[in-house]
Amino acid sequence: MKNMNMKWISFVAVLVMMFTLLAPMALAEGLAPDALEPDAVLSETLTDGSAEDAVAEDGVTKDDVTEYDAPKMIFEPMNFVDNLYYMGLGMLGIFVVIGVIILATAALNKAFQDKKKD
Amino acid sequence: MDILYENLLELQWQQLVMWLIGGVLIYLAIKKEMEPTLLLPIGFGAILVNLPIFDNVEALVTLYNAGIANELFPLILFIGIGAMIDFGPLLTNPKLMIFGAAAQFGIFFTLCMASIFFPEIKDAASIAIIGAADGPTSIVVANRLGSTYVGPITVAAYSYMALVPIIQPPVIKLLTTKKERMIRMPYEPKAVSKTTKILFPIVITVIAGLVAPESVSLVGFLMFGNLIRECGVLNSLSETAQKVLANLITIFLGITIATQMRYDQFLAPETLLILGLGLVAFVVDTAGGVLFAKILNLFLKKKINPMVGAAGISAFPMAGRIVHKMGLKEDPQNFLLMHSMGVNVSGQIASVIAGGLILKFFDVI
Repeated sequence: MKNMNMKWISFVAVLVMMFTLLAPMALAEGLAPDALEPDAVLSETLTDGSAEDAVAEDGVTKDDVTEYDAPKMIFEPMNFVDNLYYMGLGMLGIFVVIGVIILATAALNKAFQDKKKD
Repeated sequence: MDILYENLLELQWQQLVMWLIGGVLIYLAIKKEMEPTLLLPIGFGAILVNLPIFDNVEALVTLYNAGIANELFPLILFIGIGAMIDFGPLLTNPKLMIFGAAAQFGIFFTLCMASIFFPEIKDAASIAIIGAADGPTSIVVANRLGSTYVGPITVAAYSYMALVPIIQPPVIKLLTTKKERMIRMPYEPKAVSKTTKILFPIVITVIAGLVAPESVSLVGFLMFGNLIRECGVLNSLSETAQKVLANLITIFLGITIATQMRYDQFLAPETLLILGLGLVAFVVDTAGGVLFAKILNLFLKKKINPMVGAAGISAFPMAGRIVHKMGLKEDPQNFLLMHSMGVNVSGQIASVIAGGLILKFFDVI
């Protein structure tokens, strides 16, 4: 029974890992969550429009606006799905960088082997 | 006479709660010896900044602006950490580094979880980096992203690092069978040349600079410390970095972080949620490392003890020691220390790179 459970856990883990690694490939760059685009974030956070008006009047760029009354906490379960893109991209990024480091380390070991015998 | 009681009358119950929290942190530091170098100053600082008239402690605010807001303290601390790390076990078996990468899964899982509750993706990303199990990285990332929750994030990062011996074993046991925990991994020592040890920090810095430029300040300072250690001609500097410098910065870092623990900022439902998400990050990090090792075992002839994957959670050197102890508990002849330490230091590198990636994704927003 325990072995069975372990097999299931391994199976699910494989699925999760595969999803993690394949997500960035499955999601094209253009499918990155819109809510995370710089302008979208800004416009989303300037909910009452007053700050946006102030931007227009004062001639200040959007980048200069940093203060706004954002809601403190939300409950948006779909945000989890939206951000899976970053989960996939992040894990892929780490594996790629670590992969490069492993290769570089192996090359260093090969190139500068200690010739002294223990 | 009233003048004597003026401050007392201004005292609010929330400040008393913060004193209690400070007291608990001091208790954990002294009695349980959990990260005492940080929890004690943070605990004392939490009491200090929650006195009725905090304006009298302007020096702390100055220290915060001089050392944390501009990321100076955490980066200098990284020189000390770099000088403490021996990459030898990793260099003898570089393949182990892959577990350091897998054990960062908790960061990105927590990012998704935190985005459910926090409208600002920068806050969610800052909370997620608690999973780096690395205080300086958490501070740098949260600060650079301009998160409003730097205080709770830092406290959570350091508290959970201290609690790694309590958090990790049940997760590891849940995900592994006794048979798996007893897998022996004989250590085959290989001589690593001095040239390799010297070139390693330089090469890592260059790779990080090219592939993940946002992580280069963190990686650079870490590797600079390691270069001082390995070059062999700066022994006194290496010792200073490991002891005096690291201790000095730790003193200032701890008490300065406490400036972010004012009751009006700290006593909020968000803080509890951040603490909860931090725990999720640590648990999923551990699970990520263990499960990745189990997956690899499906394809490998020479099996890996899946517990070793859990050491990739950074939290140096506790995570490595825990895995070693758990291995010995299952089989007194099973010495996993060199493997787990190799994975542990690779987790240190991977967590910093994860921090760099988080900055790359969200710093421009």
